Amino acid sequence: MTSLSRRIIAQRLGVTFPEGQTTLSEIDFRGDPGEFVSILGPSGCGKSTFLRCVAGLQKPTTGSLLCEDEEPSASRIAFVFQDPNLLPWRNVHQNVGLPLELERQSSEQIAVRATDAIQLVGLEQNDSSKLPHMLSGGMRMRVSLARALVTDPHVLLLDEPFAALDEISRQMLNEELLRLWQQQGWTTLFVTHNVTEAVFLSQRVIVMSRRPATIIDEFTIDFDQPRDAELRGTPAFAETTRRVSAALRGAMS
Amino acid sequence: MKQFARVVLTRVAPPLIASAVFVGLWAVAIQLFQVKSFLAPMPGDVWRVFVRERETLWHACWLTGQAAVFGLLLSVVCGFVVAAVFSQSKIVRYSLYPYAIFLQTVPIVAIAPLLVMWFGYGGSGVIAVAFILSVFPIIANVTEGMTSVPRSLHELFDLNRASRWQRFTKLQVPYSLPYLVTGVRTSSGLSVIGAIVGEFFVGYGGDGFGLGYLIRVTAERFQTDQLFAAVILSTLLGVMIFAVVSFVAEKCLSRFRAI
Repeated sequence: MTSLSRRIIAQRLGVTFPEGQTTLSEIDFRGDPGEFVSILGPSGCGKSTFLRCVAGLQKPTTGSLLCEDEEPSASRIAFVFQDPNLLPWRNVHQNVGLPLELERQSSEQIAVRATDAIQLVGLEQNDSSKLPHMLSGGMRMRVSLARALVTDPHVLLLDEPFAALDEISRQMLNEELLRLWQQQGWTTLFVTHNVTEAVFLSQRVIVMSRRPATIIDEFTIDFDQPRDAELRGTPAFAETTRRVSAALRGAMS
Repeated sequence: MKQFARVVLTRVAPPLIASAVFVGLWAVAIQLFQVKSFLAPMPGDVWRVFVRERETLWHACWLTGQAAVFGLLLSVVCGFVVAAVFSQSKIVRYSLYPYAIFLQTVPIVAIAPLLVMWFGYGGSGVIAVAFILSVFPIIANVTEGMTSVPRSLHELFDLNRASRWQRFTKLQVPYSLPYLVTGVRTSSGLSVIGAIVGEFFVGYGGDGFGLGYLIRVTAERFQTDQLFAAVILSTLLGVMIFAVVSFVAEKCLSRFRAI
């Protein structure tokens, strides 16, 4: 799997729902190819709505959104939902292969690529035939990640994917995600409400205000790559986390 | 073996004992209050009917069971197709669903003569009644299943640009299978009732008779012991079809339920 990366450019993006509720206003955002950006903000502020716009699941009502110089297209954009969102009647391998199946790829092709993706996210081959209800929360999330990666995306969007996991599973998946990102180089947008997670993963953290959300703060996180679990214990990490937390507090009040 | 013994002790023995007690009380009550035998027969009389008339009863049961099963199968196929159409368009659903409810509320007794006119005396008339009575729960449940797929799963298909057909076959159909099972369970009992009601009014002409006909005729002749035997058999038939449906569903669909 080799991936290209794409630039994401939002200009004065706004979303007003038909009921008249303005969720996003005047979002100016630029995500460079291969960049890892986290989006923090008060819960319910519209972080997810922004991500859904980029994915093409939500139409912006004002402004524009470009992936490089094409209209947002779903073909090379992968989305990881907050919930693993697996089809309960399909086993792991069948769930991971679903996007390829919908693209009408040959079954040999699907088998090979799904197997690769399953391996990539650190699942065992003998997990392939298990049904989702037989897996732990962390494993389900890995399956969901594998399903997103199986199409070899250019842009990876993650909507609070690890929010429901216990702390250790979350940390392990963070490290895994970072390793894959370095290897694959997707342009990545990661929505979270966890400051530590955002700082650990990202090259850049943006902070959104309360609804109607707009970008109010931005931090460049320049810890060296590759990062490992040790980083979380360093004073520099603590200091950065403190600064980002203070900005988030500001956004909430 | 221990497991088996426990199942027998806790799940099989108690209902058997309960029914034995009930039959005993029934016999005592008839003796005690000197109930006339044409009003309520002694359990022993009913048993003797089962033994004496076993071939007639078996044949009637077979015919009724056949009509019920064909009616039910027809309901599954037609109900599923109708629900599939309903699931694809809100406008179609809103326009036609109220008329599907007609099937539920139509007084079958009133339209039975019409069905005889249309289908003639014979099996197809009985099957038609079984079908009309049992199709609605399947339409209702499968429509419910196909239209209640969570939005997040639809979005997964949106993201991957699924066609309408892919969405239908790979998402809506499998998602609605447990709903189909619920519908078929409800319908299985109704199909037996439908077959019996059908036989009441339609019958099979010269090709023999089912439990419904037996119930009507024995009631008219005050042959209460035979009436009881026919009613008990009808009930067992319903239970049996229900059990088969449940068993098959359990075997085939366990993975579809675990959400």
